[in-house]
Amino acid sequence: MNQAHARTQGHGITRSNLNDASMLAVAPTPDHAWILVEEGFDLAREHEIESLFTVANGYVGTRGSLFEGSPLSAPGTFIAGVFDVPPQSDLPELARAPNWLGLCAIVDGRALRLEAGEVLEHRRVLDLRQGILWREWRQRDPAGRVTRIRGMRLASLADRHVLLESVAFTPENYSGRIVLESRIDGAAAEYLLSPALSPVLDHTVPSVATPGTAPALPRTTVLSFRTPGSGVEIAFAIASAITRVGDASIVRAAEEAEDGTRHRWIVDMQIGQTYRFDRVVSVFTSRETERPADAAAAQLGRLFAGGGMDRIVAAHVSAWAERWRTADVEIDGDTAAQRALRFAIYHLIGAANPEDATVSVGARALTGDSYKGHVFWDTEIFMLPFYAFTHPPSARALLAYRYHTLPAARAKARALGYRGALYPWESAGTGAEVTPRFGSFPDGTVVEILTGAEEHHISADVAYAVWQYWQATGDDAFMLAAGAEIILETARFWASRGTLEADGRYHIRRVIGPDEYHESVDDNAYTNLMAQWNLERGAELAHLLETRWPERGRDIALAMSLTADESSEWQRLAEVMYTGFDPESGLYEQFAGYFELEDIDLAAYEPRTAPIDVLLGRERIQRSKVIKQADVLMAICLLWDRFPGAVREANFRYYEPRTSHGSSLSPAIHALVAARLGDGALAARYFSQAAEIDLANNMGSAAGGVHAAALGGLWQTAVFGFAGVRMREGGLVIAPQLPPGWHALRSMLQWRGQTLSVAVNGDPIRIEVQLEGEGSVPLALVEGPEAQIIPGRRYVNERTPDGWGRWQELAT
Amino acid sequence: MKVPTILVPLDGSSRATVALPVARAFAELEGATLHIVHIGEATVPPSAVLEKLGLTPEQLRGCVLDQATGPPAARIVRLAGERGNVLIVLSTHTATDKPRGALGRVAEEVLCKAPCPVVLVQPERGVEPWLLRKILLPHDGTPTTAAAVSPAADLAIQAGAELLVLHVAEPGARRPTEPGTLVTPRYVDQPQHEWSSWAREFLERLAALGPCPAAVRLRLLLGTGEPGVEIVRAAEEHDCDLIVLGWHGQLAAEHASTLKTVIREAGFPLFALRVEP
Repeated sequence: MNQAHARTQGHGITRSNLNDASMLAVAPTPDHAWILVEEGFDLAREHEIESLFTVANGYVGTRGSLFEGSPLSAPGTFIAGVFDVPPQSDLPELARAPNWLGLCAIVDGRALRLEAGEVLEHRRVLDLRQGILWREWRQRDPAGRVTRIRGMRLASLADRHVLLESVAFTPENYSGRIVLESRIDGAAAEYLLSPALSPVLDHTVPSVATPGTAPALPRTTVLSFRTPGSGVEIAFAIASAITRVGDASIVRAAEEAEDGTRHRWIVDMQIGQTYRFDRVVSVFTSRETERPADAAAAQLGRLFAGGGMDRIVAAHVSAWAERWRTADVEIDGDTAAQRALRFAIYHLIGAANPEDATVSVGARALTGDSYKGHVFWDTEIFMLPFYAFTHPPSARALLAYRYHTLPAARAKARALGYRGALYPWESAGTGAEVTPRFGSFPDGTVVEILTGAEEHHISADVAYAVWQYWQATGDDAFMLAAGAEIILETARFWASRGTLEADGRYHIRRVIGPDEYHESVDDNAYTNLMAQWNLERGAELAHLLETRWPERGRDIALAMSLTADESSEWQRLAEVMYTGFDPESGLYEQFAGYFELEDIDLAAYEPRTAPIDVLLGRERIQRSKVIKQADVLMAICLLWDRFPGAVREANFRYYEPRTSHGSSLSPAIHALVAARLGDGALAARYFSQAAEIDLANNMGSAAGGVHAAALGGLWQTAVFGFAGVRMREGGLVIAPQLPPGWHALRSMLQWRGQTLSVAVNGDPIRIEVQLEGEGSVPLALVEGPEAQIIPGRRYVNERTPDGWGRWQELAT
Repeated sequence: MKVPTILVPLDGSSRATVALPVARAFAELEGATLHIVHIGEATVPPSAVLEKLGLTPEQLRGCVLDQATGPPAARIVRLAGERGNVLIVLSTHTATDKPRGALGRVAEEVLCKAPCPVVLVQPERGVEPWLLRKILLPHDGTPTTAAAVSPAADLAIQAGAELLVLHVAEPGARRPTEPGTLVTPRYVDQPQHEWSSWAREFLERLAALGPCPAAVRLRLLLGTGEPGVEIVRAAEEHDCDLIVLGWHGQLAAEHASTLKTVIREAGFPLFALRVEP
């Protein structure tokens, strides 16, 4: 097979043999808009493919590595919240758990590998709808034997502690002996966690399988590992078996390694007969339970008592179907965009765990080890809206992580001489600041990293996310139990962070805004506008607590020593906040002195393959107006209704050409803002750029994991930009603006316990909405009438050249 | 790499003999036989050839003297083809005046048509003994050019040399469309994380595609600017003794600008290896 022909795309599985009786009772999704296909095998892209084809459920994620390995395999299983501190570092990083995928198939003495012999067929299919990674492979070995291999892998969304893999082998033109060796090892962890996770054998449950007879319980082994630095125990209970498809007889394992990490089966295969290797792994850690090995073993027992493999798969598929029911965004007219969007949603669903309030989503989620699993503002600003509007329990859990790490945020503020809570720029298990202090560049220079010390806007970002969640869900219980403290403590931080100066304005000096090309700047517009918003919400919330929930308000005030004078002061500081706004031009100056910097025509450097700061050098960039990513525009995007239309437009047209998009967070936000401004063509271009970050086959940047924030941004662009949905005081507003080529967009939104279906048609522009739940929802159109949407009824409105018409109720 | 034969064409000019010490060093590294090739108008006694080349019989020790007649470049290429697995080491030009493209007619034809790698030696380096301690391997991030990794790694092992990989980010350059290409990251969300991840990925891909034995420790350098200029600059800055460069076999006007710049500007031998997409 010509490796150069390998490609990742979506198309129908026209020649697939995956859907046959040798696999479990589930078939791959045939619809090309729901699958991502890697046809052939391209060794160069293997790390990327492993990231893109990860199966994950928010608790555990396993990269889409080949079970037999390749010269460029980086298998990885990551468990949310399990960090370790390597000996050569003082910073925690997401631990690489032992690799449970190891499986070596030796046919008549030759290992089945892609590089040994001729690849007749090979494809991997990521089934976005069902959360399953499928594999189909036909290999002719150097002796001419043709073996067909079909596989599936999943991380159960129904039971997050469960991983499953099934691999079927069929000798097509021979009968012969196959030796299958399955293994679990920590070898993959060696370079990250040196010394590797040390296996500590707790106990091995003897197999109860009998040779060549009717189905019996599969071989079960329980292994415990411990991360060397942090001492987190990771227990795997593994049930594995080989059955002959047709009579379901179990083949007895011939050998077992002393430490329980390897099992070997010897099977005399007959021509045309299929043999299936099944492996179910239950994972628990000492983060959840004192005795993870017992918990894992007990769960495995329950799973097999309750129906085994087929039941596990069915429950998983059902759980994905339920998530897609409320999370899908359907697009008519643009298959590539549809697939990109579903790819984004797939990974967002797999990134968060609504059942764990002490973990958050790292920059690369559970798909790779880049960025060390650290949590940034990416989660709250780019990903959280997806969860808030499609699965509020996930959003709540992510915000609860910030509540649990509030003590560390208070400590950071205190350490720097401020009050309140300053969240770390990079966060891991405890919420302490874990930003590396220095960064090494490939040109050999070592640079001091200032984001941990200066990028303070994250405190307002967290507060913003709490408020948005509250607005979208009406979850007063969360606000009272956790959210309020976050908002009040961050407001208190901002009140201590700046200085009221001689000009009567409140200034915030020496910060880094989202545009990280410019460090140690004064009065960054994004920071100041978000701080102003945070101060206002703090004051508003303090008043609300006093009036609406006086008892809880008193408790919080007492715990925080919060007085009415203090919250009044927040309001006053917000009113005199310096924002850099120039009423004449309508522009916000990104930071003090920005307008005096050198203007560089970025178009003159296109096309380019490298970030502009690499091409021009850091010093020149710092002296220029070139910015890394949306900064003023980020504030406009988040605080949309605070700015007049002319101001939004002026700032977009000014800053967009000066933005180099050196961050993967930037294109989607530009797409969103361009869509809201009605520039559909530009929005579509930025949408494509954002989609390509992970999916283009010549970028390589996904090797260390998918860009979770960019994926969240993609969803926001579709729903908040093209569908034009946004929250406003009193309800939802909608202003659809589909890009060229999109005929229709349909999505569902969770809104205060109800489900709102929104369908937008492009030409003519038409909106249809329907509500499931109780109570009505006010829905406004920009420059159009408002409607009270009542559950069970369908409403439609159409825009003509004269504007929006009246809402009409359709028969359901 | 394991090349059993090294061909070094000499025409009797002092500029041609600069290839000899480099060829000898390669022969020693490879455990290969050094063939001194002379293309003349007619076959003459060996002593006459040695005299023309300015070599003594002692200087020929361990070498084979090959004679042939006909057009020099075509005969050298033919000899290489007949020998099979060979390496040609020759001077970039032998005329007194440096050609405009820095390659003489024979060297250019050999480079384009030879069925094997060609080592080009600039006359300016003279006949000083040549030691291989540091190799520069420029790489554009495409899987195709990874074919240069394995020979470079083998040389590094044989010579105990350090292998530096250089990637150059070129302003105005389009991202190669070849799947599996890895150039400088378009997005550097957080430099403290992105660059280390990128460098690791770049080297791991090269090592797998090459392949490159684990015994060879690759070091990655990043340059910015016009690739040819950056390659020469990096090679000088890091005291490299050899540049190993993959190229596509086309020297026509709009092709191989990097190779041409390196040939023109570099003061040290260039190992040119044709790579096929």
